Amino acid sequence: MIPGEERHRGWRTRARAARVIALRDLSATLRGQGIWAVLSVSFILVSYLSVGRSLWAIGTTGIVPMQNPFEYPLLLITTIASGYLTFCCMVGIARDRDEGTLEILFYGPVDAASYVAGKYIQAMLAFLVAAACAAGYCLVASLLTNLTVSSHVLQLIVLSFFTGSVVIAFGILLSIISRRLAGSIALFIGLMLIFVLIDAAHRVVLLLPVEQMSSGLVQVRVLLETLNDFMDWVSPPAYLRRGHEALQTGHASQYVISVLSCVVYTLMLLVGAGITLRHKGVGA
Amino acid sequence: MTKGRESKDHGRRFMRNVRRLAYLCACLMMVDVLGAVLAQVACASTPESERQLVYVVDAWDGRTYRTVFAPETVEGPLYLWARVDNILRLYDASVYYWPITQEYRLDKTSPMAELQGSLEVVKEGRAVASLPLRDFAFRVPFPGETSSLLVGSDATEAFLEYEQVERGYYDAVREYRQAMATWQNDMYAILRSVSQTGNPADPASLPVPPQPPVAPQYYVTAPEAGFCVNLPPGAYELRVVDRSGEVIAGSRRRLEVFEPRREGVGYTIMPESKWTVETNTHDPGEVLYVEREAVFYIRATSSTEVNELQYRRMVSPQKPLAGHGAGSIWTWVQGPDLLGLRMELLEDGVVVETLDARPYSVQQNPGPTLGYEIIEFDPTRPSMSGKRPTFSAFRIEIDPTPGARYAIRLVGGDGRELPNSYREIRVVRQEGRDLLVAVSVLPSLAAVGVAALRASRRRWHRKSRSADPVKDGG
Repeated sequence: MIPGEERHRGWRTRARAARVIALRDLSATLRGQGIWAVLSVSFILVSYLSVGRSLWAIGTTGIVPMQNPFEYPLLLITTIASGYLTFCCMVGIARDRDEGTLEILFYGPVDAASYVAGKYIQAMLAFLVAAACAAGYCLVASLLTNLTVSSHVLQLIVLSFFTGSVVIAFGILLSIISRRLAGSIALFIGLMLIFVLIDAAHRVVLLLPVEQMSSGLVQVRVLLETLNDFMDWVSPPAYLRRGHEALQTGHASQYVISVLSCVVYTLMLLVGAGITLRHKGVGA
Repeated sequence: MTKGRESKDHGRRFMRNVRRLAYLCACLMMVDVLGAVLAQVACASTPESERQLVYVVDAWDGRTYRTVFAPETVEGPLYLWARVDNILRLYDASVYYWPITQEYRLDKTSPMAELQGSLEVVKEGRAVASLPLRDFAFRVPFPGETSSLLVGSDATEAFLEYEQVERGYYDAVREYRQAMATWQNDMYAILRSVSQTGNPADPASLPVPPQPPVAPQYYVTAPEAGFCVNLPPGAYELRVVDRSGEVIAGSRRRLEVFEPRREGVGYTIMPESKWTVETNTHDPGEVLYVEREAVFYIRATSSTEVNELQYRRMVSPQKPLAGHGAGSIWTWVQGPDLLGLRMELLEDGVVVETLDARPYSVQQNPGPTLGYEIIEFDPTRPSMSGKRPTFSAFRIEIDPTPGARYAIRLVGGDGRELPNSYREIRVVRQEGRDLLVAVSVLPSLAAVGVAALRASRRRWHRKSRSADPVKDGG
């Protein structure tokens, strides 16, 4: 039984508590060096791996058609940022629990819902700052190289905001489920790797001409496609991919469905996290 | 201690399971490799043919018609392009499996019998169409160009017309040969007279050599009978009903009719410096990036985006594995060349040049020096006489002005822009790359700067407090 949980708290009190937690943690995140260092590293990576590569291809081939050269840079930066912020969130939750801060907070006006909401809002506000920096980077890069920033970039930022929200909610749930920080981080990284690797393996197998494959490899390909279909429902990168495809093909309804699915998925994860915290208690 | 031992046991068990999984994967791979080797060995034996009903399909593939066949033994539906005429024929034929290419092949040494009747198209258990056998033929231009399907009386008339054209051509060839023989005799007589008299002949009196006739630039295939299928997208069932009204056993087949996800205008771009390295752009949202002044040859085609699985199954129904696992991929199919259009080059939104597609010939440099030259095709020039142009394209020369924005688009005879033909052309700045890396470290530098500023302010506050003990409360 969580101390103080029996007291009735109105939504207003909860919202205030969540806001205080969110602003306190946000201030700590933005004042620290970590998020800025992560942004710089991701900018450098993107400058070499994506923008630099595009420029090199144009120089070598003479002419290169591209729909949106800043799509992948933006996705890479926001993915790295969401990963980092999830990591920070998980560390924060584990620290609060291990140091007994969580217990003290729960004696006060904080309950499971406001705590989870506070952590989530903090991470999302920090993610907004990171997304704004990523958009700024794209604009500067466009001015310097004359690669175009298409109108899709704004929609892509919105999409990455919602998929980032799923990743962060996923991390919060895992850190509450797992008692140990190392365990929750290992689980988070493991699951994300599984999601990404199945998708990557599926794409690699798709590159092979099926007519020249042995029947065993074809079965692997079909199995990967089935797994990928399943992952479409549970994997945050899959939500991002679907929304991205909808943007590329101009299917507005598919894009809206992707965003709404992210919202529903995030809510499910956060509610799951709140319920788990309420049932497991705050002890280390 | 107990906890530590437990976690060690857990670790060992985990590693054991990982090893087992690795062994299992290795075994599966070995079985797979062995299977592939055995399949290759099995190729050495003569394959066995079996009689079965096959659908021979003349399917529209987005660019032209291609003839494929769908054996009974390959599971899954037939795939056809929606709202386009496709031809289906049902044959009783011998078929064998060829493991090297993993496909079924028709045994052409055995007789093939076409089955007569009418094709019933069933949707959701209800017959929606009953198609009789109709004559069809293909009008085929030069190889590689799009052939067109002619159905019914059009097919027979076109074939008769082509036969007339062909006969006319052979008559003209015969006349040309006779005229050539006469001309050679005349020339021989003149030469003999010149050599006997020593007086040169008057050039104006020399007979004009005859010109060879131009061969027909197309051919039409002989009409055959088939079922002409043109359906909206959806899932159907096919069956052939014989003259007595009975469904021919083995003729039932599922049919998936699909339509493209998107349609557009595709461009095949050949830089003058590397004309064999083609770049394709199909998506109307794509921007063309160039680096410096350059000349490009651009061919315009129609383009359609289709599902990879549906497309592969449609063009290779005889391959059991074609398209498997590719249901989530979409691919652009380059369609026929767009003819009779003009290309406009725009600079900052203003049309600066209007171009026509022209034929070009690639001429290799004479001698041992490597290199080539692309020149406009002119059949009257001796070096190009009797040859065909290498390609026909719009020639675009970009001489980039800093800050200018270029674009191309296709316009019809009425001057209207063809939808999805607009492409922006941008000139990139390579020197921006190094600056971009410098810009990338700005967030970190700014954060360090702010942190240093805050630390110095804190130090200053602490100093000022220690210097003013009253304020400090001391």
